[in-house]
Amino acid sequence: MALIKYAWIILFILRAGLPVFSQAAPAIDENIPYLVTFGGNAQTAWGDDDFCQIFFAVIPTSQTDPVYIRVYDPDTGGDLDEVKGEFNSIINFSIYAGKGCWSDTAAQSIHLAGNYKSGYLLSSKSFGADLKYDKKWYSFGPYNPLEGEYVEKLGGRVFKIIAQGISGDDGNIYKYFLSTNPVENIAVEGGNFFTYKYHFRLSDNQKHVCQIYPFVDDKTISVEISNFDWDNDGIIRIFSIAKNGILCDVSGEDHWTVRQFPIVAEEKNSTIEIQFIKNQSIQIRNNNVVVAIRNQYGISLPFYVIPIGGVPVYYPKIIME
Amino acid sequence: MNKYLLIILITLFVKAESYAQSQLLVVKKAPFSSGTNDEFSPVFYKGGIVFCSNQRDNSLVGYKDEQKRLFNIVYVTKKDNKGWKHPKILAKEITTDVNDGPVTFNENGNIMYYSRNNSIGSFLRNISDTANKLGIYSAELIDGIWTNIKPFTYNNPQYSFCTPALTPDGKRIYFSSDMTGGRGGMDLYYCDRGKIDWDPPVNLGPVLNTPKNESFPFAGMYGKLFFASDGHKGFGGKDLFYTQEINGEWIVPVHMDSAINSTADDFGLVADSTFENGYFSTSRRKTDDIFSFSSAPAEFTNCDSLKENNYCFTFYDERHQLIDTIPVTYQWDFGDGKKWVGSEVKHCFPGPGEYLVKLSIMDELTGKAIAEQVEYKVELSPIQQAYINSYNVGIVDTSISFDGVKTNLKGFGITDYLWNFGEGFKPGGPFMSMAFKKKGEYTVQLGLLAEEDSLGRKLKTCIMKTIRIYDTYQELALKGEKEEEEDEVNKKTDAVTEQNKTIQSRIYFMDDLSERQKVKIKEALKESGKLAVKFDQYGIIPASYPFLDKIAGILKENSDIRLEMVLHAMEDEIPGEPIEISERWAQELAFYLKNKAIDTDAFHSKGFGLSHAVFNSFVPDSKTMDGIIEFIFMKY
Repeated sequence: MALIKYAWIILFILRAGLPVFSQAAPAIDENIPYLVTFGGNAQTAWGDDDFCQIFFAVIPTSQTDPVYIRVYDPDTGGDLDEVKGEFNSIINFSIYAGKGCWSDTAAQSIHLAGNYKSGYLLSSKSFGADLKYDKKWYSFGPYNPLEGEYVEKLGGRVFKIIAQGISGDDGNIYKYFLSTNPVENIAVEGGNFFTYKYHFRLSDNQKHVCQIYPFVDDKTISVEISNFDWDNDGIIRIFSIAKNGILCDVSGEDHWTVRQFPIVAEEKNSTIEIQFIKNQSIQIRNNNVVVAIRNQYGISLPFYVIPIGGVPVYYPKIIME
Repeated sequence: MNKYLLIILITLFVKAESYAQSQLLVVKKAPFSSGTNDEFSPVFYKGGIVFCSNQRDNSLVGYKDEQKRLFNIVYVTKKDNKGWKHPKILAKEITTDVNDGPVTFNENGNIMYYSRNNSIGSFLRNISDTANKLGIYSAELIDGIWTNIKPFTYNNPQYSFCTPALTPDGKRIYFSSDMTGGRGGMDLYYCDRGKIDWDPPVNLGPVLNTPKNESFPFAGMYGKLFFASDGHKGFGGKDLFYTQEINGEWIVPVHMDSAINSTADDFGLVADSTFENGYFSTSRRKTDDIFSFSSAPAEFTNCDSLKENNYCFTFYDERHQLIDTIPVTYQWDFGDGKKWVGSEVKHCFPGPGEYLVKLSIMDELTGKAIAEQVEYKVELSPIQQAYINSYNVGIVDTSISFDGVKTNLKGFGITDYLWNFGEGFKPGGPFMSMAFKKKGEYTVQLGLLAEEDSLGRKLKTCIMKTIRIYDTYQELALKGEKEEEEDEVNKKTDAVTEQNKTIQSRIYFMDDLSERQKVKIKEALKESGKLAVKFDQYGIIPASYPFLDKIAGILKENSDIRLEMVLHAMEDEIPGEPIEISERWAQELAFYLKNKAIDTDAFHSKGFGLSHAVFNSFVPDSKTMDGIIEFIFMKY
């Protein structure tokens, strides 16, 4: 019964196009250059509301060989990262697995409360300013996929990656890759990343349009999209099969803005797209933003880096009268 | 060779009787039919009946041999008080010693066509002499004597030519013949009246004629043709059928009522102009007899009001939210060669059909397509209804044409058109005309009967529309302004594009409008100045909007005024059929006013192709205009 219940999500994963390879987070199609996590003493006004980013990696049950979670530029130093004065920040990356790693409700919350570090710790490493890791990949693992928490409705086993600012005030700019190889990025077939609160760095290029893909389940009748510290960097809009670019309210410096949108029947069990179009008149550089989405019950909805069911395409409802 | 004689002889055989009385028809043996002799093929003539008979008394030529009784043309009239007189020979001067009849008369009763054996010597009286073929002959009544007897031009001693039947207008004669070139047996033919003589015979074709026998035609009003056939499916023997030529095609013969047809031979029918009363011949009682029939008037209840077809629609994307939505461009391709841009567009399709509408949505911010060629299938078909095609307005004592040929009823094979112009339903044809005698509002109804269905039920339906009849009308004369503006419009038309079509307007006031209302309309239109409506391939062009907005304003501000718009398209230089073009224009106009929030009961528009104007003050002139539109204002 449970299998039937969650068959849709598996189906959507399959529909997304097999094989699903490029498990980078952010993914290429998102057009987001990097993730961002600031040091624990940073100011939230710099674009990180809680200095902690939680991602989940889903590994399909068909994957039995070891996997690696690789981090690009894990240190906080060098050209890529955002320096505030001098680099003085420590960011910790921890990998969790096992029961509760995802299923613990605290792990899915957008608030860092309770046992969000649920599951059991597989690895943990803190990075400061270290040229050894600057603009280089660091691999966590190998991990036996069976160690991940098996979640039927997600169609696989789940590992959790927490990047948390320990100290300092600089911004760590990085990205992930889910790989079968410790020294190069070899995608896990059918694997995916998702998060409930997306902290990322926007491109400085005004022409770039980036997008993230929350998945709306069948229980959802409305969503509440929140964005933090958008800094007037253009517009945020929503696309789905039934939405053709509805504008979101955008946040200013150091605060959250929330707007609710109804979800129509055709949008249930589908991915919607939140699109970010940079300010075309003023170039805003190094803009970091946090985005979250919750349903009418306040339950967070996941952003998949590879959209479930593919990128949503607006389908107009033509009326003739 | 002797098929026609067999047709006659076969009526002598005893047949089982079939008396299934229809609910609509009452049949009974005519009092003048003897019941012991053979009588058949009655026709109306000067208040009496002329028919073929082999009955005899002292007044008829006596044939001693009962087996060799031949047929004469006899005439029976009504007594002054009640009943019928005894039948007599119609005219000794046309009576021969062989078979005479059947006969048909022209409307004035002074010309007859009849069939008889070609050789008339008494030595040829032997009924079994099949070499003596039948021919058609004509005679003229001069000073009470039938004279000038002439053979029909196409008689041929090798074949039979018989059972002639003139149309009511005398311009066509139907007959049957077994001449070569037919489908076998006796076939039905007609000849049209030429300048000097009858044109060559035309076979009525395979819809009517079968390899067996079709004969005994009777040409009724409205083009209805009755005939007898043993080749079409019937009850047995010869059965009576009728057909009608609609748009140049004969409808499949309709088997007549079960009260008229029987398992015996049923043939030789004549009916009055209403088709409600008449006579027919039958052998259901041993001998050939003439039966009368009369029908109860057809009843139609709960007639639907006529609805005009609509092929104009507003298209939009229900999901598109104007507020809060970034700029997008909606590009519509309607599959009929026309494209529009806009999140909400109004489009008139050229007519019924299947269209694939494609919508692309372009993101103005990114320049990329949000949606590409999203398809929407549109299937347009005319409303399933009986249809009365006519003007909705007219003048006392002026004929208005009505037709029902635009009826669209799937699976409903029309057999009868019945029209009610205020005096009950009466049989008619697909085309009728009516001149109303008094001013007023008339409900015109069209009732249609169809062939019986598999359960033996006679399907019927009806439709109604309202016609307003006025004593007088008045044309709004704004000649100075009008001519000037029209010139300007035409100039612009030429300059802008050849596709533009200028439809000149005529404004009429009906006599129920008050002077105050007329002044209001006049003043409003004077402000507009331009009295022409222009169309291009996309519909009404914006230059016409001010004038149409004035029209809309008049209707909006004067709820006591109603508008009838009648459009006529010229044939020249406009692609498509004029009727379709004018109908499309009419729909565009109606759609325009509807979108101006005008109550749809306050106006009506319809295209009539090349028709003359409602008010016959002029005919469209293709040299100066592409069409005309009559704006007829009346009291609501």
